[in-house]
Amino acid sequence: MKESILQTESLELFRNDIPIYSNISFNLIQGQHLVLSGSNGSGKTSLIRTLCCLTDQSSGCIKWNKSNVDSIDNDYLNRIAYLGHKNGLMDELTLMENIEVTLGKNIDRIELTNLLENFNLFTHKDTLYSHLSNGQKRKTALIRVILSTKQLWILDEPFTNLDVDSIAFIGIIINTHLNKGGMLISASHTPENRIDCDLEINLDGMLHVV
Amino acid sequence: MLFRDIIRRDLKISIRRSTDVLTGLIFFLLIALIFPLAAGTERDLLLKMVGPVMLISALLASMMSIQNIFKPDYMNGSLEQMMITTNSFSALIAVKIMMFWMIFSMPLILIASFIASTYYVTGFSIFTVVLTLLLSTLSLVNLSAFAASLTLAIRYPGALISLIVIPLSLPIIIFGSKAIEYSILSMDNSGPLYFLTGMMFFTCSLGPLVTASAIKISID
Repeated sequence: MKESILQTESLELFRNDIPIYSNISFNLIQGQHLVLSGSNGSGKTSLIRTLCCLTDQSSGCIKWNKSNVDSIDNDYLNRIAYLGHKNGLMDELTLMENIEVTLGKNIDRIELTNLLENFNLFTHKDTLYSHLSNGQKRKTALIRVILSTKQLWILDEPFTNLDVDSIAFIGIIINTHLNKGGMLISASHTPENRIDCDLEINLDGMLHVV
Repeated sequence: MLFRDIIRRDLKISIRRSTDVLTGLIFFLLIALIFPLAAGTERDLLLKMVGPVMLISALLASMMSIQNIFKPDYMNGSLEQMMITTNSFSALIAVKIMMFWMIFSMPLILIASFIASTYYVTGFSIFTVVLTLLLSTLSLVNLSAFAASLTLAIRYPGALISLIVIPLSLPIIIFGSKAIEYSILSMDNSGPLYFLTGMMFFTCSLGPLVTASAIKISID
């Protein structure tokens, strides 16, 4: 299989002439994990949304496999799974229904049961989403990303509201994903509970390569 | 995300939120029934009023319930998930608008025939009322969806949606009323019906495209 690569060249975003982030250039290859760090308001979420093509950058370009992501023959959007601050799940549906409608019918049932058990959600699978706690809601949203079978996961503050056990379990899941040739971009403002990363972009200052 | 999943999802949610559907329906019923109470029950007067009353009630009902089409999905973030996971966002929006029309406007068309009979409308004219409402609600839903997508990022849009929809819907209201009026007077009403059909195709084809771009701007 061909190596996949995500490249950005001097990405910049301005809002009302104020720079939100500037000069973001990186190459992310298969099996690598990129962490975007920085204090509150440093532009992590804006950068993440730009990488998901939800916000257009002011200048610079994003390339997937050497071709621009907004060109018509690029399958970039079919390769990413995004989790933002909002979980993107419906209050009126149960946990299970939420997973089914977002992923379609052909889910890996064994893997799903395994995930639900490890996240202590199995007994809640028929609970209405609105009745779950914030941490359980976040875990449901993470299950959607994990089961999406997409190559590149883009997660914005994935660990908000999660307990220690769940964070450790996600660490294992992420490592398997990376070992299988997956890629991960995550944003985090807390240096603790962070998983090993290959690249780090600190939006407060300079680009670091670890 | 497949269109089949969107349809299943929207149906399930609207069943769980059936009060919203019922509110729109009862709203339509009340508006349409309040006119005979206020204006008196003279047969000629009511027959003259029934066209505009039907159209205006349908317009008000669609403007009131249109908040439900994108706002919940926008607030909980599933609209941006749909934007990423679908191949054609405007086709998805077209599906969502049609689902909304089926859930919120179809019941309204069904009870319209009963309301029309309280206005002394009889025989073939009842069928014209239903047909006119069928054509005009399709246009009105597309127009309201466009207005709803423009005001998506505003937390409390209030009357803003009506300021956008009412001027745009004027031709539909005028020609819809005429179609019903001519049918009651046993005149040829094919002209207004052709116009309504044209408007229906125009809004159904262009509506989802502009709505999709307006949503993209709101989400940005």
